[in-house]
Amino acid sequence: MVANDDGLELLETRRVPGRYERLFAVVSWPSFLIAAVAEIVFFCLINPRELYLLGEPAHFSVVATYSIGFFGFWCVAGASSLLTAWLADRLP
Amino acid sequence: MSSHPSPVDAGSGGDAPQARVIPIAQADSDEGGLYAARKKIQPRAIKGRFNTLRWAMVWITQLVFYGLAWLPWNDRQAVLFHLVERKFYIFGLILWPQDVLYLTLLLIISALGLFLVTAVAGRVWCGYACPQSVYTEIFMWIERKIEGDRAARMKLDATPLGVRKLALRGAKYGAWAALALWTGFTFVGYFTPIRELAGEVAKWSLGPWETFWMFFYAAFTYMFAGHMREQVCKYMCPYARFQSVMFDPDTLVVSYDYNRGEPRGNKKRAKDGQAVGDCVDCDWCVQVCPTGIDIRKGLQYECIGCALCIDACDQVMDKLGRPRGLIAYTTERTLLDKKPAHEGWREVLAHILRPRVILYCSLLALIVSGFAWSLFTRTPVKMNVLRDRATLAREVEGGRIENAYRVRIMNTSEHAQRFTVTLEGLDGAELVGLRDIEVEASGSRDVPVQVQIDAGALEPGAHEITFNLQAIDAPDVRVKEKTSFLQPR
Repeated sequence: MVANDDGLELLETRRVPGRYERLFAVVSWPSFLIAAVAEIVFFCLINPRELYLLGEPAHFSVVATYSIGFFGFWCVAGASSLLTAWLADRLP
Repeated sequence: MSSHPSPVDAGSGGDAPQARVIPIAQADSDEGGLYAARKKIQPRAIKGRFNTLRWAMVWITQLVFYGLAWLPWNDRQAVLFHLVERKFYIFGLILWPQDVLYLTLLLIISALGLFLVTAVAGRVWCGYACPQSVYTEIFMWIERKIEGDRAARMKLDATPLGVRKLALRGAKYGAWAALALWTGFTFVGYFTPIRELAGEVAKWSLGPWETFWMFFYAAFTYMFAGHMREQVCKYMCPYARFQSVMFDPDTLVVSYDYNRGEPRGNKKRAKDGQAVGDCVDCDWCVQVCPTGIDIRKGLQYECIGCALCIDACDQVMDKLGRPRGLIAYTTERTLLDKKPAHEGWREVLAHILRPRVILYCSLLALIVSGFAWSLFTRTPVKMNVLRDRATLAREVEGGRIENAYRVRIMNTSEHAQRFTVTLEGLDGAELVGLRDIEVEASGSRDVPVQVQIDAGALEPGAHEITFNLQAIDAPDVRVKEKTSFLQPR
């Protein structure tokens, strides 16, 4: 166990290694699951061939649209998870 | 003033009230505390009933996963979630995006099934059927075949990098990568016809996104089953965290019979009069554990219920000539009654039907029967009626008012069907244009349709009108769709 000058335990030092890996895991994995659900619901309701991008019909292939959609959802959900993880770590 | 100053009153005056000091003993932290670096777990291989069952599940699930994609059905792939066509083929069933209700029901059924199984038998899903466990088992088998048993692997871990270690590691990683790629290929083969995909792979003409998803899924498999293993269950799996709300005192869990096992030790070496339990502290239950826990410390969230520790302990008990079941699938109630686990089965069975289980079962029965009923009574056709956006209404020859529509007919059966469209709900309305429409098997067709009515027949404004779609050869195959007819001023 490591202590600093004030004699307080530095719990943080015990987290290393693995802290960022674990943060990555708890952020990326739940958002992956949510992105999968969002992807299914979104593309069940909306046909990728009928999507418009900046006012013009999106001319991606269907699989490309699905893929971009999935990563879009993943990024959004991941940002939310990251913010939640950050806030939960700093509860007053 | 106290004769032995406590930390609380050390600096205070003599009149301060006595502070009660509760002695706190530090728990032994062989886990290295909450945030310890992960120790690599090298589980010992074990034979036994539960290991056989686990491998049976590996074979069943993987034969289905790798094999089903290749199964043909009516000149197409039996199970295919065709993303480009936006159709899900599941044997004779063809689902369209409009059938999202079935998918929702299927998810609810799966969730309830999981709740039921968890309430009755704990985390058997984790131990036997979860892809994470299954692939970890397969990857560990490869590892064992290449690098040797537990002792050999630990020795190899400790040796510095040399030619032999490099060769063994290379072989292992290569075999893992090959299996992961095959898994990724099969995965993509459920969303794109697998035979076409195989042809494209053979010709090196795979599309960029198919290639990407194949490698993406392969990388996930490789990382999760090869390197992360139990960490996925411990840190990432939500189910592992909320399982406890589904447990009750009658849930079957892998448990150590504390009353029988303790105090641990060797009976032969025990001093006279010293009581020694059945646990010989051989450590096998710890060594075989894929998540590296000691089941003798009680139920822990890391336990995936694989029961390999039961297999290990049974072997040791057999060798010692003692009854099996020092570690067993049993319930908290049986353990608290201090009955040996191997005699507690009657009690376990007597408590299986309890309100929670009955509730899950009835909900499940209700939803499954609703699902089945709705599938069997499904009309194999769908229709959308869209008003023509360009012209709301126009006047045509003979002083008649015409509205134009686009009728989309979706044949969800596996044979071609012929349909006719009739109108309902508006007296004097007449359909102009195509009447008999043939739609190919599992295909859809857009048909422009005009409805005409005499100019004076209607008040100005919107009027409700119903389109009836009727299959010509099957009287019970018909659907209705409401839309509106506009009469201009």
